[in-house]
Amino acid sequence: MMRKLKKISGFKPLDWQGFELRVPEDWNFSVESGDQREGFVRLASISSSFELKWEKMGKKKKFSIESVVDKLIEKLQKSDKSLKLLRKGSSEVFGHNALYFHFESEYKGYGTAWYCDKGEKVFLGLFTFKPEYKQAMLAFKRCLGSLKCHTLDDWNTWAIFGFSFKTPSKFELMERKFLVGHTTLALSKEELHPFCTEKTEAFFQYWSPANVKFEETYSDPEKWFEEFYEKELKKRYKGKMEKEGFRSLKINGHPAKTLTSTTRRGLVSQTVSKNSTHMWYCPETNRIYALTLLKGLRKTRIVPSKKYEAIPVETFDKILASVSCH
Amino acid sequence: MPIFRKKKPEKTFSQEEFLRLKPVKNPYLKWDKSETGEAVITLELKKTKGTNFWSKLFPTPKEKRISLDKIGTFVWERCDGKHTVEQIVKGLQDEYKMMRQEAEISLTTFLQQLSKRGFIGVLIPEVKEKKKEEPSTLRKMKI
Repeated sequence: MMRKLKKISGFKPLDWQGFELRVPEDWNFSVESGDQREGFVRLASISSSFELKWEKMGKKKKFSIESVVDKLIEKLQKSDKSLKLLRKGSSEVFGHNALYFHFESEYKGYGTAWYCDKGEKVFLGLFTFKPEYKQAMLAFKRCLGSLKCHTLDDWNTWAIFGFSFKTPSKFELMERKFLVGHTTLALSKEELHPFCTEKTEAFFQYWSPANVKFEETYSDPEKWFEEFYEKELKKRYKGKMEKEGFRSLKINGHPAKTLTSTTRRGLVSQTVSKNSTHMWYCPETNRIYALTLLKGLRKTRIVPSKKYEAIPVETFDKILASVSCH
Repeated sequence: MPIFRKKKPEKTFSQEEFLRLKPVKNPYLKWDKSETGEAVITLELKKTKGTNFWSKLFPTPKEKRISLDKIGTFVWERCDGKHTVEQIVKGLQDEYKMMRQEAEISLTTFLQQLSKRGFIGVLIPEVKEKKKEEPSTLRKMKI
């Protein structure tokens, strides 16, 4: 059984691109970019904002945390001439030695930087807040205290907008769409072999409010699939879909349906994917969720590939068991 | 001279100010509820020289009816000059179990559309001085 997320009251999880964080509930996820190697996230509320940047350094790249911090201070001072540096010092983040600084202008703020030797990444954090935000220091300390910059078990957690699930750390986030009432995440791993390409994917989506968007079908996943989701899935996984039938199961305590199917496309160069699509309605969040776990192979038809066709059942079971929808 | 007259900047609100606004329906608009409980707004179509001419030859509609969905109706009913935007956001969260961010964004977009069409106005509370923008982000910084 996968470890459930630890809940801190008044805080919500934001687990993304290999790190885990707990942030105040009024902080909204506003900007994100990049991947596990190099990326950026920004969270903001009415009275504060928090930015986190990471970059994989590798063993060859020479750098020092002190110079990184100095560069950040210089950049802040260039953009705001009234900025005063109040204090610099050292601290610790998730067992790593870190440097921090405290600054003041019309806003107040803290910056911090550290090197994570496990992930070989430099992390930069910048927290700015309005002077009247009394809880600022507490919020920042709790947030930074909860930060885990590397995973302990080669699995990454993806937790955002009230849901979470885990995938192996080799799965990269290839696609993300954040729309009002609809989120899509596609995580996959591709392996090249002689004459064929193997792909394993977790494709996650939700829609809300489900009882308004799908008034007639939201409580019946099978009907919902037939009337709406089948078309969406066929647009994504082009080719002829052979459905093998629905079976019932429970996901996070909710009655769910799973459809196993095979999609084939192409004549000489063939793409075959074996999919299991899990669908359920969560009344606590009024959302319909769909998680498709796919094992695909792209190869020349005459090339034998039985070795690469096996579905990673254990991995897929772990992903499904890790899903938390409310 | 008119060509040199500067355009008056449009009034913008900070997020805090926006949440304190009280939207109110245009009192000249007619609306009612359909059998299924959805709000239907009736607009009288303007008579122009062109439409007057064509109306003599063909039957032309005199009014346009715009039907709102369940969530649109929920918001429309609360545009009464008494509910603040913040209260409507909380209402959406409670009624439809939407996340705060989703409710705020969808409500903001919907109110903007209603306002552009002249369906609603807003009662503005006391406006505070706008503060300077926060320091720039780490996003473009190279380590």
